[in-house]
Amino acid sequence: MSTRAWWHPATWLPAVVALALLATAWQLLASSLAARGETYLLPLPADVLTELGGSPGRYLSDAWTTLSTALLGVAVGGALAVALAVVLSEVPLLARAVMPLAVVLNTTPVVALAPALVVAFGFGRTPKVVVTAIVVFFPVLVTVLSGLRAAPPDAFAVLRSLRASRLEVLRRLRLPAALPALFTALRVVLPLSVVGAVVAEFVAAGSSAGLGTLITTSAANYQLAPVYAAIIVLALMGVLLLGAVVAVERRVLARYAPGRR
Amino acid sequence: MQALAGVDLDVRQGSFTSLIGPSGCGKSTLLRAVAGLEEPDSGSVAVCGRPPSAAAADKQVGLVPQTPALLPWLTVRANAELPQRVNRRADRRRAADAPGPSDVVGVLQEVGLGAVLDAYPHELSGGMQQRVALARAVAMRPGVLLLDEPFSAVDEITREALRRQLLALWEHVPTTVLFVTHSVREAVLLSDVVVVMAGPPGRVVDVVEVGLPRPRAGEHLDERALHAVEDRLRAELSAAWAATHGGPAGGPGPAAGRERGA
Repeated sequence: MSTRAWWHPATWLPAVVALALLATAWQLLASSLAARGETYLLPLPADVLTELGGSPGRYLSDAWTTLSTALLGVAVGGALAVALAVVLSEVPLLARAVMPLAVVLNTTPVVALAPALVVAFGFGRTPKVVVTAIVVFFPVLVTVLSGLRAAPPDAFAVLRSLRASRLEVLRRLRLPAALPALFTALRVVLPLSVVGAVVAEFVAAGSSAGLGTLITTSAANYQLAPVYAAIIVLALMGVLLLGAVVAVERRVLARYAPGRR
Repeated sequence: MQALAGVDLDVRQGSFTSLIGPSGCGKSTLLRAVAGLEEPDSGSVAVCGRPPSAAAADKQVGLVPQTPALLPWLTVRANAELPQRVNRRADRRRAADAPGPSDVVGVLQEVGLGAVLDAYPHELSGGMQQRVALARAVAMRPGVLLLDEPFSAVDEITREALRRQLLALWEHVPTTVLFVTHSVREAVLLSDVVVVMAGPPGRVVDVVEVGLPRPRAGEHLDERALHAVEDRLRAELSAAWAATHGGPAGGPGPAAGRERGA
């Protein structure tokens, strides 16, 4: 199967046309609402763009606040999840005890915990990072554990016949073999981490920065343009994160799982 | 489920012994027991006079599984050097009284992979990948070399080349070979001794000395003598199959006892 290069018009033109249609529909709907005086339902695209262009520094700074919280959460939650996955892959009894719970928690909307965590961890960045880390933790645990277990059995037999230590088997075989699973997890949890960070900012009282905070304070003041401007920035952030992880994945898997490209 | 029952087998040191038998008769299980990957519920296995786990701990067990089992992120050379990179304590222990591992690059060159040392497995054909697996096992100079249908996934021409290379390696790096195969002809062409198995549960029904001079190729090959051994083995196999699955021919009863490796 041949995939078209990204710069080929057939690759990007449909998406650009769809986006233009959406913007036109938004413009038509917003201006008809504005004509009836109902400006609090939907701001005009032009107003949102003016808002973004008017104070780009503020949006960049808030975006960085939210993004750094999200990435810290991914680092903490992801590292803990990979560590636990390694332990569980080595101790099957523990895995049988823990995994049913992890699978249930993986399907639970853990962002619902955010208010309780803010109460528990107080103000500042900590509760937000904790919420994000929890959001990230279970998908990474479940996916990476299945990756660690998917190491080819014949290669495992060869290493066992050499009496390679558990650490050697982990380092030489299981961890590299789990890299595709790790990237599958990252594709899921990086956008999810932004959701976690934003929700944490929503519920953290006294939060003064971040796109989530910007959205709640603007909405409370009936200012819709900043709300939509923040949403656009969040969408761009998600796209950039996904693009970054796909780019790194391609390079890494070209070496570690050449058949999967 | 019981995989093996009544396997009493003594493999001569330095010999080439093949295990043949129908699918599910426990050939691979027997091989895994010799490699120390399976513990028998009763009986014992000895490799070079010691339990398989002790032999494996000293890197005396070279295993070539059905698939090449190469690590896709390592080059040909690094894959073949894998045994030297793990369980290093075994090399220090071994250095005193036994010849150390062979020159890995030399073995790779011997099997015709000298030009692809820095290639990755996905850049190689199936036959070349299997040669890397062979070189990986042989270069560590194991006391026993265990091959579990290593050539089953390659075409007949490649298979023949792989057989020749296996025999050439065995000549240069003498070791006791246990070779699992489905092919009667392959077993006769390669082996000193062919062990006929039946089951499940797996049992040894006969141990046949091939007794043909080597090399067994080209003008040296006595086709008539070869066919005679093949015919005998085929008859044994069909009798054993009938005894297991019900049929007119009666097979010999199971020989109770213990398992003994080389």
